[in-house]
Amino acid sequence: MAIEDLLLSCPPGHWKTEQAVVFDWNDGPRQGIAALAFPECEFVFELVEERINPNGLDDRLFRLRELPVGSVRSVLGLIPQLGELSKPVWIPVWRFASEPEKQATDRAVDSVLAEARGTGLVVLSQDLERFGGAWAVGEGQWKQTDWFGFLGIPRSPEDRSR
Amino acid sequence: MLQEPTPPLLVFLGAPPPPRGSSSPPPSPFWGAASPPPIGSFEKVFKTDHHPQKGTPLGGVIPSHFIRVGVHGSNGGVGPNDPLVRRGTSRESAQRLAKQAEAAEEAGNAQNGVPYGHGVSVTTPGSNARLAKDPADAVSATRRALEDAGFPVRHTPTRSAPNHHTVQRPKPVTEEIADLFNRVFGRKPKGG
Repeated sequence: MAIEDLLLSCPPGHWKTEQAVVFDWNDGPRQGIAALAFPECEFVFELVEERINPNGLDDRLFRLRELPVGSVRSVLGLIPQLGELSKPVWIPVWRFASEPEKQATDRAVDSVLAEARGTGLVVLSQDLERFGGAWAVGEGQWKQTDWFGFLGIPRSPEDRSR
Repeated sequence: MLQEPTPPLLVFLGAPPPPRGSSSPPPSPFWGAASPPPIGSFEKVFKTDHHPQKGTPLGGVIPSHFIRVGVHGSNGGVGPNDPLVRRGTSRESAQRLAKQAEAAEEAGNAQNGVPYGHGVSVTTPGSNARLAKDPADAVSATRRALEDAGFPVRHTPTRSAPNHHTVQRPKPVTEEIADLFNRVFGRKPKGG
């Protein structure tokens, strides 16, 4: 079953993250890969837009690309030298013993990511552990300047009062 | 002629994700959550190389529980006089800073014995210009200013952001600490 069917067949509040590996972190995940234990699937996530939350982690919308099952495990197998895994979300500090080792690892990771298939899925999450919404966005709808408004995601009470 | 965009297929939109540690969806959304309980002390986080803070570049009084750790640039990254950029120009609350630091600490591993740390994100001006949606919506301070104020800086590169650094915070992040942090970046204190 394709990831669109899997993810849209159950509420995001029921999704369970098995392992996310964050490649870009700025007070929260911005880009990386993840494997869900439920529903079972794997994907690349890439930040589409974020909205400041004055009292917590920012709300973030991510576009997904589907990865073959086993991709996250493959990537983890490429970077054992980066230390102990944090579960369910890990930010590996991307530091290697030498530049050639780093370049070789980057190439190997790129080859795994090259298998990703584009989808029209956008998901809402602050931390890749809990998800607050999922949308299937059609072709021609990707050039938005206000994704939160476009998807009709309400602001927090604190935001409304600011 | 401009056309009204076709609404996307709305599949599921519940309340935003519940706060960390909650076992069931709360009746109120996550942003109404209370401040997290204290989960440790600054001394427990930085248990080596303690030195009482003796001065501040801000001319203010540094609380006695602030300690200075390490040497500028000792763990790599930018030099002491290089600027580090933090997103946003408005004052950040203690609650927001605490949750960000907690998330980083939980997700960051220990590499060669050095933990990612209980801290928040900063980067270089160049990376900010490349990565931020609005690069001008940011403030900056030198690494030295941050560390002299009692906020050690660790170089924590990620795959996509090799200039990412983490500014360490005491636990818990009090309003006093939040005010000092905001002042180092030139933001107005609470009520200021």
